[in-house]
Formats: sequence, C-alpha cells, structure tokens
Amino acid sequence: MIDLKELTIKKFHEGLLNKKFSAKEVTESFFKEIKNKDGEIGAYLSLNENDAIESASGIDNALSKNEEIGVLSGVPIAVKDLILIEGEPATAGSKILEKYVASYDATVIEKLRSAKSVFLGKTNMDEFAMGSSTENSAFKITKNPHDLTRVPGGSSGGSAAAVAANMALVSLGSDTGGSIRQPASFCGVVGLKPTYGAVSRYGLIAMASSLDQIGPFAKTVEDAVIVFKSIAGHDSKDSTSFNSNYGDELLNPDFGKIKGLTIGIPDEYFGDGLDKEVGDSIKEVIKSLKDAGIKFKQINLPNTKYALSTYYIVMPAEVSTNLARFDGIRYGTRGNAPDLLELYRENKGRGFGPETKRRIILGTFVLSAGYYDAYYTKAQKVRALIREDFEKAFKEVQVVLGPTAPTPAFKIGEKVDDPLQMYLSDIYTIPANLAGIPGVSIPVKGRENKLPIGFQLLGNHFREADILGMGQLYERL
Amino acid sequence: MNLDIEYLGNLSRIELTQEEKQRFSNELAKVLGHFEELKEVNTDKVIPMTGGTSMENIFRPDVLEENKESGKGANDFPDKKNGYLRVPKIF
Repeated sequence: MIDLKELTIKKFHEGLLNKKFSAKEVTESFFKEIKNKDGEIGAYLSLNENDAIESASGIDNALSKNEEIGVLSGVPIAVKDLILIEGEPATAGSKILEKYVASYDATVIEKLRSAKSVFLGKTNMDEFAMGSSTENSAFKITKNPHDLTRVPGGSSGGSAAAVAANMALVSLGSDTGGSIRQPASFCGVVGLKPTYGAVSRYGLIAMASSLDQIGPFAKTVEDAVIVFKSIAGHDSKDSTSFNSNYGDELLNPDFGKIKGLTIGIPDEYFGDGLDKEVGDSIKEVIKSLKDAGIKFKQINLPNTKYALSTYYIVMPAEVSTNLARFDGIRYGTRGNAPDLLELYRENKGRGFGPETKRRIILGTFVLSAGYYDAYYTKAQKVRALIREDFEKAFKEVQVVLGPTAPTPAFKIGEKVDDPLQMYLSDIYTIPANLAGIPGVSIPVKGRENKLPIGFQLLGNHFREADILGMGQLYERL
Repeated sequence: MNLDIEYLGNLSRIELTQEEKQRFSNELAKVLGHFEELKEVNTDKVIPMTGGTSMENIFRPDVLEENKESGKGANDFPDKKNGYLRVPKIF
C-alpha cells in the first residue's frame, strides 16, 4: 500500500530509485483514489488514464535499463482545464469550449513532458478563471475535501482539491487575482503565484493578460519549488516571459541567509473584514517565526484599499478583449442563425455563464467612449501607485506577510448571489497581481481536524527564492 | 451611474435575456458605486501602468519558418469542405 498522503516529489523519486514502488503502481494508486473519491469531490473534468499509465510505464522501463531519471520523472500531475495539453479537452470551465480539443501543448506542459511527468487529467475551474469558489464552472461544483459542504476556493478549485485529497501529487493552476493562493488557503495546500513574466503563458487560455500567471499547487513548499523551477524561464512564444536565472538558492536555500531577512507586516492587511480565527492564526505564524529569530517590521501599503476597485476595472477590460475571440464559429454548435452577427450574439449568449457575461459587459463599459479615461486610465494610474507601495516596502523588508484570504472556506451557495461579497474574498491576493510580484500561500500548521487557513508571503520581483526559502524555514520549525 | 446594458450587450455581441439585463443592471450599478472611491486618489502626475511589468518585451527574431502543424487548429471546425472552412454569410 502506497501512502499517497505522505508522498512528496522527493519521496516519490527515492521510492522509484529504491524500487519501493514503480511509477505505474503510483499512477494507478492515484487513479484508484480518484475513482473512490472524485464522485464526491468533483475535482476533475476529464481523465487521461491510458496515456498516464503508458508514460509511467515508460519511466519504469527506463529504470529497469538503469537509465538516469530526473526528479520530476513519473510525477503524477493534475492540470487546470485552461492549460493546453495536445489531444486533450480544454474547456476553461465553459460551455463555449465544451467540444474544444487542444491541438498543441502549452509551454509549461512541453517542459513537464520533457521532464517526463505524468498528466493525470484536467481539473475543474470557474469559467475562464472568473470566480473565487469554482461554483462558476459550467459543468460541476467542486467540493472542499476538508468539508464537503464548503467551496474549495477558486478559480483553480479543482487543482487545489485534487492535491488536498491525494488525487494528484502536484498540480498546475493559474492566478489572475488570487486563483492559486486563495484555493490553496481554503484546501490546506501550498500555492505559488510566480512573478509576472517568470513562467510562459503560451498555451494558457488568457483571462487578463497583464495579470495571469501559471503556478503550482503542492503539499510542501519544496515540491512547489521543484515544479516552479522546471516551468520557469523565457519562452520565445511569450514576449513577456523572462529568464531570471533562478539559481541553486531556490532548490537549496541557505537558511542562515533566510534567517537574516526582514519580514514586513502591513497594517492594511489586518483591518476590518478579517475573520478573527484567521487573524489569530496569522499571529501564531508570526510568533513562531519571531521565536526562530526572524526580524519583523511594521510597514504600510497605503493604496491597498483601492486594489479591489482597480482590479475590477483593469481585469474586466482585458477579459472583454480576450474573450471577444470566442464566437462559436470554430468549436461550438453553431445553431441556425441567418448571418454572422446573429450567430455571434446567439453563441455568446448561450455559451457564456452569468459571471463571464457580467465581466465582459463591465469591461466593455470601462473601455467605451466617454468612460475610458474616467475608469480604465484612472485604474491604470492607481495600479502604478499600488506597485509603488510595494517598491517602497521592499526597500525596507524582503518579505511581506499577511493572510491569504479574509476567511476560511465558505459554504457552497453562500456568496453566489452577491458578486461584490464574492469579489472581497480576493482582497489580500489581488495587490500582488496588480504589482506583478510573486506570492505564495502556505498552510498554517497545527490545524488538523479544523478548516485550513493559509498565510501569504509576498516577495520582490523575481525574488521567489526569498518567499519560498522563508516558507521552507517555517515548515521546518 | 446608469448602465445602458442593451447597448453594452450589442457592443460585446452577447444576446442577453430580459432577466439578465435587469440583473446585471442592478449588480453592476453596485460595483460601479464601489469604484467611486478611486476619485479620492490623487493621480495627477502618475504614469499609467499599461501592462503587467515595466520591463520591455523580448521578441523573437522575425524569421521565416516552415509550419508543419498547419491546419491542425481547424481540426474541430464544425463545417469544412476540401480544406475550406465554411461560415454563415457576412453581408
């Protein structure tokens, strides 16, 4: 019996080398777990069992010939359904892409494929990554593995739930305003949003191009590091991607150096609206890091309170532009519209769900003549100020610590009729996307049999090593 | 602020039901009300942040390459004949 709950990438790799189990056995165990549990949890939209077992057998074959294998070889990965895997469906949680089958691999998939990872299947998400609960999926509701009456968070709820329920060793998600970190917090796993530009977005179905980043979910910070390192880097197919030469400090942090970093605590992240239990948990994290000798400093990020408004102008503007291409011509059922315009109207009306329509309408409004400057340009200016806040902060500290989400996982249906309430659950994660900086959500320790709570570490541009090093230090305390 | 949902629906090429128009109108009015807070921020001398980064794009060299995958993207096209893709009339 393979203990999937305790399995990490390194343990898996060592297990393969020591012949404790085969890659095929582990992949089969994950599928067994999926069959047992996923009817209830609903993390996956589609499975890729035959290919997965075949790739896993390929690893076993290589091992039997004493070939060298990499640390990600045979690692079973779940992938959010807006990242393209050639020959697999990629619905982005939307009816309008229900029949779409990807004709190429996203760059992150190409990289993991050459590292010989195994793709288990595609995970559920809010339609086009728009939502904070995965309730906006056109196909099903994913439930939180820790409490089936609660949401897993969103929009990458399926990827978070898959790792939390041991239905994948690690997974990939995307984060535009918190869509990796918030579900990681709700499901009790680690979730990393890299620096804007750290990971190629080629083959990611775009939501808001100036905010989107692909990142990993894992049970430990170290596993998240291993996946992140393998998918990061410049890609000629994404002109915003950048080779920042993440060195050895990512995989082998110097904890002596990490202990010398100063953590900033922003007043603005501990105000009204923060659940008491969450606030208390974060204080415990601060205390244990202080006890370990880490220096703390109170800081201010004065424009934080404008982040939500700024985000809900910039993001829908980009959404309305990016989603204009989905017209029902290529993959949908076309219907009997007499002309092209009518066909667009019908297909979009039928193919998009309420939240997607809401954001397209809002984005169209803020970009429309007469309102562009008052809303869109204004928001872009406030965005610059939010980034400036962080630039100033990172002159005094190297890491910023706060809550990931204002509450633990909420009940299914609780916020579905109140968009503004739903939007507020991303209030602490949005600023990092606006500023383009990296952020990681890490589970607060000692919450067995309680709803998980995550804390967030934010770092300077391309300084993932600081937040991931600090995260690993916390895990070892 | 009153949103002309009918007009915005037309601009975005989305057919909306009466119920949706009513619902979005109310919900978006609330969201726009929230945006009013941005007016209190002094942005007179601020240069707008127009992308996710202040770094410059890194473009690949503009060289001709043979595309061996040509046509693959049209695999799922619902209406095609002899290599042509058929769409409803435009004019």
